[in-house]
Amino acid sequence: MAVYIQAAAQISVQNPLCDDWLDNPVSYDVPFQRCIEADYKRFLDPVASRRMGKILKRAIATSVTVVEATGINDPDAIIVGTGLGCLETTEKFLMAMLEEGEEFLQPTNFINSTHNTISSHIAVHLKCTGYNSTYVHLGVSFESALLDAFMQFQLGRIKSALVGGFDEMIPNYFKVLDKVGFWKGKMAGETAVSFMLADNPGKNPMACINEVILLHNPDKERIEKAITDTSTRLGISREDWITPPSVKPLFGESFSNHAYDVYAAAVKMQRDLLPDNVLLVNKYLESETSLIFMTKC
Amino acid sequence: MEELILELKKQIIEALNLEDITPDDIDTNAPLFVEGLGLDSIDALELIVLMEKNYGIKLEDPGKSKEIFKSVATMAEYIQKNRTK
Amino acid sequence: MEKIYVTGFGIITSLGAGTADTLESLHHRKSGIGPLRWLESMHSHLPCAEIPFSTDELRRMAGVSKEQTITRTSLMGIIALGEALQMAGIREKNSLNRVLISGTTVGGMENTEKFFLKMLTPDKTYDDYILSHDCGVCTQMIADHYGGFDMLSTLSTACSSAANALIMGADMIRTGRTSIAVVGGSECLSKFHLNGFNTLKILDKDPCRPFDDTRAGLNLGEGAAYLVLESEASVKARGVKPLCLVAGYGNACDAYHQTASSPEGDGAVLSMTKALKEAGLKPGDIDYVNAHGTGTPNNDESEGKALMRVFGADSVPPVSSTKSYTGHTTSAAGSVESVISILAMLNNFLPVNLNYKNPMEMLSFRPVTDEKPPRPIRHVMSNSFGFGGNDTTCIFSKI
Repeated sequence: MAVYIQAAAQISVQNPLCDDWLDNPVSYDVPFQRCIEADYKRFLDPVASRRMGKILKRAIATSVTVVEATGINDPDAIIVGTGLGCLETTEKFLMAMLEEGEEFLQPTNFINSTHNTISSHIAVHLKCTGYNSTYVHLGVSFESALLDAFMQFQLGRIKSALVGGFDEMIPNYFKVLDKVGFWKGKMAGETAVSFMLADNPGKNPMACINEVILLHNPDKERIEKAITDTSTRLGISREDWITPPSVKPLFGESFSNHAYDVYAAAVKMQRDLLPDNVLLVNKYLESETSLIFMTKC
Repeated sequence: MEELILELKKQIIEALNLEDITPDDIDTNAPLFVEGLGLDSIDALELIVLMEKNYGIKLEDPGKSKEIFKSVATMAEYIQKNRTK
Repeated sequence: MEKIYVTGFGIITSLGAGTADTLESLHHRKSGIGPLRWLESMHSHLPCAEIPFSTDELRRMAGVSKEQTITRTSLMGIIALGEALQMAGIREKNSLNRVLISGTTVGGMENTEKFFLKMLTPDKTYDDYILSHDCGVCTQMIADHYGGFDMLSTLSTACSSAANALIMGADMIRTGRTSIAVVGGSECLSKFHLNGFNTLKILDKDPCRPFDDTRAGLNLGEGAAYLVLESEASVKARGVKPLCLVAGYGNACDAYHQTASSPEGDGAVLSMTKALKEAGLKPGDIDYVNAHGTGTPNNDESEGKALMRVFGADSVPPVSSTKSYTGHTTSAAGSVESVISILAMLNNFLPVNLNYKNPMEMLSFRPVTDEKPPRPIRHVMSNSFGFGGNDTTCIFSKI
């Protein structure tokens, strides 16, 4: 069974909502970089979006972009992966509570601090009452969302799904993670990627997803067994899978940044810049590993 | 009263994060909710916090606050009568 | 469609640790709601439903050493998971083709909020808590205490998190990815969300009164619960006695507003309808509904109307909210209340809706006040509706 990536859109430390990163990437020499923002007025009325922090605006902008590209206005599912959720609003609420006390706290900051506010904002914006969920599992948060979507297709429950990976980073939290050596010398970035998946190719499909596997504490043998078992099941020889170099260095580190690897692979496969069978491997420390099997449409 | 109204408009803009709006854009007598600025129940809660934080006025029931929050003018009137700060 | 069984479950809430204490409290109409004991907050006048054990006591009960940096959320999860695995007869540390899917929103915030200001300074004393803040690491700590889980994931859909964890786990069995899925959630009280809910003015200064006309809000609680879901083949192979069936489930989005449910409960109608369809059941087959029933003016009216729409105004089955016992355990509510619903079914009694006196005139039904069911309980429905309109319904059936 194949699920088609009909469209994808990104906002990142690279130029937003386009593929300049492919031939003309912006390069950085800083420890921490926030996204280059898109023009959100195109997507959102300023008064309507008054409560939205950057992560929410990016989510709406990338979602609307793939909706417009595919004409799928009411996807059957909206599923989001986010490792840390809405840090900006979480920090606002937390710092006000810690520094000013528990008396005059602002409800807006609390409401927009919960992880699922992202998928919910997208649903309200698109008026979409379908399946809706949010995954918050470390460096494989995006893949968890993708796996859920894939299973919904497998079970015949949905024909389309809007799947996204979103994470933001704020100076204070960057500092705190830096203190414990989390970044390991790599640049910290932010993530905002939306995919429109469907059970049919649409006008100009990018790539197909054929399987998504997540593994906890796997050793090399388990990972290899998962790859060979899947290869057999898909009727593709183990040797035919190519794993391209990760594009994470272009986009910076964040919990859901493997979404950029999927995005880049889809873009390149659509333009015949990658071979037919692509296997993406993501490792979060040694504890979580994901395998995504993609083929040319 | 004029000073209070201007002050109140600035505080509303800040509390509700109305980025591109200036005090001049807010009609003192226009409805704040549903029409006009089109505020909602979460904004009402923010305005309740604003009233208490800036003017020492405690409004316990968001439902009963509808009349007070009808417009900037009605808010200013209520504040003038009931402020403790 | 392949059968999915429940072969074990574990629970810890303000009613105590374990299913025995939970059952006793339900039978004796004993609520766990009371004054704050452990959490330090200026809002100490607000009734809450804390687990009756300090974090140190939980550490001892979970068998976690004093040296290990761990969150209260994880400790609660470890205890509940332990009971579930034991009930299901799962003792091996090596992999048995099983996964853990857990729901939480607070994660390690209960520690982060205590130490964040210090974390921002050069002081390294509390740095160990930095990497135990996020939701995913809490799931890892719960799972790795026992070992043997092939795959983990963490969900956060506010008050429906644990129910959605059940859906994910069940779907993993349905798609042949695993034989055993342990599903549920854990959430401890935190100053962060106590204050958050307080700013929304939906907390009652008194013990909550779900489906009562004078209801004024919810009481926050803390809890953890896990269920062991298993494929038919695995149940046969292991020779274990299944407890009940996961008949069906449904997830929909209200898509109306960030914090309020649509007046006629559209999302709730969708999730209940989807669950019934998946279960292959008619509304008339349901013998008990464990409502989301938070006790807020908005939820109970919206959910009440949704129940009338799904079941027909004259045929709403017995409904009660058990949040008047456990408080609102937020991300864990879906699994806490699934366990309670299953206990009700297996022991053939209806959990009484505490603190109910005044009927809601706009609803055609009244909540349960008598433990005795009008007919044997064969199918139970549990609703969990989260902020942001994340609505989920689970149905369990007797074998």
